[in-house]
Order: sequence, then C-alpha cells, then structure tokens
Amino acid sequence: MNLAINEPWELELPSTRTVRFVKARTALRWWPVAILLVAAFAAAFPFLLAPLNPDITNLSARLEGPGYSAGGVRFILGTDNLGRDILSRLIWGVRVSVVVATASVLVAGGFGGAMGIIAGAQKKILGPVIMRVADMVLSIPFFLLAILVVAALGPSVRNLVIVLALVRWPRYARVAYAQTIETSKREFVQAAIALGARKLRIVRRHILPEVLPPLVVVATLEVGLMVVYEAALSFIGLGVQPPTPSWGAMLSTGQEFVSTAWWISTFPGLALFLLVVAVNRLGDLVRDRLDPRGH
Amino acid sequence: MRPVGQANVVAEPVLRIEDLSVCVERDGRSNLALSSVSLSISNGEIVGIVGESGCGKTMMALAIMGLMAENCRTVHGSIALQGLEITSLSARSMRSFRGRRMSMIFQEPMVALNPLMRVGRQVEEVLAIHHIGNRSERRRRVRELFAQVGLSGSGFRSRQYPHELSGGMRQRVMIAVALAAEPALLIADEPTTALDATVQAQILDLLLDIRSRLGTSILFVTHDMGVIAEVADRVVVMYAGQVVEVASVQDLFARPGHPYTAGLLGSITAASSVPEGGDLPTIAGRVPSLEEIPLGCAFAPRCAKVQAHCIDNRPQLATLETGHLAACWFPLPSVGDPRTSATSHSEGGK
Repeated sequence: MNLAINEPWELELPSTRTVRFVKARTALRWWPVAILLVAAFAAAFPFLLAPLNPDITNLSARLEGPGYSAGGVRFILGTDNLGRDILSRLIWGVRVSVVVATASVLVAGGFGGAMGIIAGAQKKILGPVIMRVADMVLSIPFFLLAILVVAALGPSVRNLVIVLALVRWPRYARVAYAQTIETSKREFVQAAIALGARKLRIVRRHILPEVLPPLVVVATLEVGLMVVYEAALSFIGLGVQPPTPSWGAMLSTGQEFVSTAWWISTFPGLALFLLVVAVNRLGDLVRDRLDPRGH
Repeated sequence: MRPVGQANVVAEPVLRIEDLSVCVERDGRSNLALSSVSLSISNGEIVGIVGESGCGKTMMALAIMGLMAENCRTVHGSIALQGLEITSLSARSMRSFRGRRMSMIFQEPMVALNPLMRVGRQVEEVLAIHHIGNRSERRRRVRELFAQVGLSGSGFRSRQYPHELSGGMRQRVMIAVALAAEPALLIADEPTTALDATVQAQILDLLLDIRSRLGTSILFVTHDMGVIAEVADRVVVMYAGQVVEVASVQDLFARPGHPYTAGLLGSITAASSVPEGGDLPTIAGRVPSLEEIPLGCAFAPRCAKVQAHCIDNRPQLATLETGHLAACWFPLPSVGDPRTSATSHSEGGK
C-alpha cells in the first residue's frame, strides 16, 4: 500500500456515521435469529397469533383473495378451497415444520453422532460394520425409503420424524466418525491412555468436546433441509394428515388452483422459503463462530 | 498412597528389563526393533537412555508402558515393575498400572495437554481415573502438586487453559499430571527437547528435585548428551535397537568404551572447541533402518575402528570395569590411568 500522507489532517479516520453503519450491518447479520424467534413463538403459541380458527371451513367464502372480508371477519391472506383462513393455517402450520424439523434433527444427530463415535472408537469390527450400514442407507433413494416406512407404520408426525432420522443419521455419523478418528490420534488422547484412562472416559472427556461443535454445525444446516423434506412428504400425502395444517399439504392443495387462486400455494411457499433461508443462514453464522479456520 | 510394594526385597529394582526383544511387523515382514535389551533401574535412580533417532529409545519407553503400536510384539524377554512381571498382564491390570505405578512425560507439552480442559482439571483427572480420594481431597492434592512443580499462585494457574501458559509451565503441568498418583517410575521421553535452553535447565532441576524429595525413579530418554550429563546417574547407550554401552555417567563421559558413545560425546558442540570455519564433528553415515541392521556389529558400517571380525560377529555386552559394560569387540582403551571406578556414587543403586 502506498499511502501518501502529507499533512496529519489528511489522515482519514472513519466517521462516526461509518462506525455506526458498520455496527448496524454487523448486527443485521443476525436477522435469521429474528425470523426464527417469530417462527418459534408461532409454533409455541399459534393461538395468540392466529386471527381465526384454522380448521373452520366456510363454503360461502371459499377461494377468496387476500384482503377479503365478510360479516366483519377479515381474511388477510385470503381463503382456501374450503374457505379456511390462509394466514391462520400458515401460523398453525409452523408448528409441524418446527417440531418435525427439530425432532428429526435431534434424533438423527443423537443417533448418528453416537454411531459415529462408536465406529471411531471401535475400529476393529463394529466401526466398519456401522460405517458400511451408513453407506447403505445413503445409497437408498430418500422417497423410496420414506414411502416404505410410512406404508409400514402409517402416516403421522412421529413416523415422519422416524423416517427423516432414518434417512439422515449417516450424515452425522460420518462427521462424528472422522472427528473421532482425528482426535484419537492427537497426543493428549495418547497421554490419557498412558495415564490409564479407560476408553469410555476418553470418549467422554476428550473426544466428545471435539466432536460436538462440528455436529452442531451440521445439525443447524440440516434443520433447513428437514423443513423442506417434511413439506415434500406432506405434499405427496405421506406426512401430516388433514385437517392438521402443514405447509407442504397447503402447497399440495394450492397447486390445483394455482391458475385461479394463486394465494393458496404462494404464501406457504413464501413462508417455507423464508424459514429455510433463515435456518441456513443461521447455520452459516454458527459455523463461522465455531470454526476458527473460517471460510 | 503408594501401592503395597514395601514387602519387596531391598535389592529389588523398580524396573528390571531382561533380554527384551520386540519385533515390528510391516508389509508382512517382521524386524527386531529391540533385540535382547536389558536394563534395570533402582529406587530413586535416574537412568538416561541415549542414542540417535530411530535407535529404539522411544520403543523401549512404550514397551514398558505397554503402549506399543498394534504391529509391535514382544517376542522374548521380561519386564518387571517392582518385582512384578508386566508383559503378561491383562489389558485391565496394565491400565491400572499406567499413571499409577509408572507414568510418562511426553516430549511436547503443547500437544499432550487437552486444549479444551483447564489444567487443574487435567491433573485431577489422573486421580479420578485411579479412584484416589474424593472430590475435595483431589482438589487439595492438585494444589499441592502445583506447588510441588513450581507453579506458584496455583489456585489461579489451575483454572487456566493450556494456551494461556508458556511452554515451560505446560511441561510443569505435564509433570504434575505424571506425578499425581505417585508412581514409582517416571518415564520422561525427551521432556526438554521442545523447550528453550533456560527453561530446559529449570525443568531438569525440577526433575532432580522430585527425585530427591519423592524418591521417584526416572527413566530419561533423550538424544542430548548434555542433558544426560546433568541429570542421569547411569547411562544406557542404544544403537539400532541394541544396548551398546552401560556405565555410570562419570565413567561414560570419562572413558567411553564403545566407539559409538565416543562419537556421540565427540559430537557435543562446545563453542570453544570448533575451529573457526571448521566443520562440526559428526558420526559419518546414518542409523540403519530396521530392515538393514547388519548381522554383525550394528555399528560396524559407521565405525572408524572397524575390523573384519566386526562384520560377521555380533558383540555381546561385556564388562570393561565394575558397572561398565560395552558391546564391542575392540573397546576403546581407557584414557589416562586405568584405575577402576569404584568411587562412582551410583554403583549398584543403593
């Protein structure tokens, strides 16, 4: 850099305005948190936010556009083919998305993480067996497995979580496995062995703290995908069953009327988009925070 | 707190290795990494193992700890710790010995400590592993240990993470970890190599201090003759997996019997001894890899005094004078007067 400063007053310090702007921009990076807080609140207390009952049908007010009002009742985002309020269904629908996504990530992450650590710690027989099973699961097409499981167990929120966990655990297992192997080679683990520590103790004290951060990063990134998967399964009718509101199911209903009543499918789609982008963005932020190497 | 071992005969050394051979299997072939090594350490004695890299020093340390890699196997010989044979112990009892009866200090304190754990916790961990004391007793012991290894303000130090400490402090923590369960034998594998010279001297002082206060026997593995001179009572010189010379530190430095030892001593650099612009003295050639150890004297290819007899016949350790053994067909003559080393203080332990 060639800075030619002739006089001291030519040295430009960032103005208060610039500092404020930079600070504001840094704070704004955390916008996904705001969206997720709203989503979490809606999932926990939909009855406080939703203007109307999401399940009450009104055949005289079916397929009405956004802003429609009748008899003193206002349908801000319009009504669907059964005259139900879109906004209310949207708000109640968050619950399914959030619950299914979090639950499946927790189950898949917990199970996959444990499997990966076990595989990394038992390198002789159990490790290869676990990792080959993980490879097998990854090679099965997702929807095929989903249809199979739902056909066997029947569609429900619980089974949805099972399906998603069943499909996604290998991802965590691989991360945990790699991290376990890598940490096992570090000298402080060798030192712990030299001090007489048992395997379980080494895993708990030394391996786990090294494995958890990357698992958390994967998990936050997976949440977004799980939201999409849930919607996709509900869309093809394998997920949440009517009348429980779910964004995927709403999209599915809306596609029949997309040329005449665009709002039925557009708003859930938009909500889905917003939620997934927010989750993914948060995942990136978490990764930046947890990974000192940066990206 | 020390495990009951007082019933032992006084003469029983803390560690006795006899005729130990270890082979390493690689690519379907197996080679001897240690061949017929014998060694004993008495109570409170510091024995140094020297040799260039790849001479089997670390292999010996790992064999004692039972921490050899999976492709290594003890083919012959015995290792007895406080009179108890440990080569045949189950993995479980071996584990209960590690850290408790024998402990190890690693070369690099930067990586041998868990970066995510407070150092006090890491010392406490050893006590927890061996079920020593309850929570508060362990805490007290940690404070005691920190004071013992010279980490002042120990309450504050023990709450720090490894990255907040200097290299020397970390090595002090490592020593505290190794000493926590009061082992009878401490194996120090190049404990000062990663430290700078002044810190190195402090750590050596600390080890000497520990020996005199706690009576811990120390097996000191190093390639640094200067360090050996400073701490060891007795020295075992290793070359290509064999013991080539054993002597008290005075005898070894005064009258090296094996040409290899002489070469090592000759390579110590004293600033005054090197002529301006001259080359540093070295031993020509390099340590043979496990596959290429000669049939005869392993040192023969590099030896200045090699004779035909050395090529085909492997020399055994033979006594040169009391307590001074060398494995050489033509040991170097004693320099100056040929008096024996009866005055050597460390002869025969105690």
